[in-house]
Amino acid sequence: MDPAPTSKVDEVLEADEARLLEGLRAGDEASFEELIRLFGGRMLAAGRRILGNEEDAQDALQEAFLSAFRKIDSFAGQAKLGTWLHRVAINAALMKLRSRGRRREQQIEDLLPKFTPGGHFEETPGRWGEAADGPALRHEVQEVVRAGIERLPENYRIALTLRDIEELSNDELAEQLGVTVNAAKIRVHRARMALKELLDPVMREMNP
Amino acid sequence: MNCEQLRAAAYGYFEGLLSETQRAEFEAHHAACPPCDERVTAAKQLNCQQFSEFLASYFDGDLAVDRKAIFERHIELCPPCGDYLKAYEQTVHLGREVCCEGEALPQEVPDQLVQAILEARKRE
Repeated sequence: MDPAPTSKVDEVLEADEARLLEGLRAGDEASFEELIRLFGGRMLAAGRRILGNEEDAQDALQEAFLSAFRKIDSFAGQAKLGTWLHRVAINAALMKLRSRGRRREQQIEDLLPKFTPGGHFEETPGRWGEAADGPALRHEVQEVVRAGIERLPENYRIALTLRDIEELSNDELAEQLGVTVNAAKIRVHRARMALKELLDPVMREMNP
Repeated sequence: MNCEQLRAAAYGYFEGLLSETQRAEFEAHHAACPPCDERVTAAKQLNCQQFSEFLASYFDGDLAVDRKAIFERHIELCPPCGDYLKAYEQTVHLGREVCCEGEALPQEVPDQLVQAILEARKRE
């Protein structure tokens, strides 16, 4: 797999970060703008993935920055500034998601593998092709993966997005979802299994 | 039946798919060969459903050493679970790649939004 492209966020050096923090704490307008331009793109992308639409993602980004500006004095620097802002953005996006009103919890059971009473797969899992697992993802596969994630019940989609895409740890995920670590792990696992089932027909066809 | 043949026949044995003769050959080798006996005994401690339940912990590297050994013995003797594990790993990688590298929208904050955030800060 090719390494992820370097983003602006990756290029922020510690010295730049210290200078930026100093400006923010001094209330320097240009520093606030620099912070938004440096880190906002990645935060906005996370909001889009969680909320699924541009308007809500932009609202959440605004809330995230206002919250970050209020808390900047208490930012202790244990985490990188970019990592901290990413967590603040996720928090704001989840708040926005909750404010839309609670959707009926959807069931995921139909998308999970079934087993015989003896514990064997009811339907033997098929082998996937290698062609789909690489940097040159075919357009078709990209679309299928995106559509598959969208089709997951919301509480599972969010768990998978936060753990596998936003790369929260199991502990952070549990905290964000307000459940135990074990429950968070099970939710992600079920989401992955369900997504695998949704991708299965296309991926099996790629078997050489 | 030799060790290699036992490994290939193990899934059929566990699934009850072997003929009576094959089953007898399997059991004869199993009884006479300590490494295969260890392999089959370990694999028997986990069925495919339990395998699927341990999958996330295995993937996260959270399985205790003894559990991990049993899990890996199961994969060795159960090709469908091996295929399932590979597809599960690919699922995680595909999700990550598609969402992080194939974003349709640019990772820039529109100017208008930058200004709106700065204005909102002043109003606070």
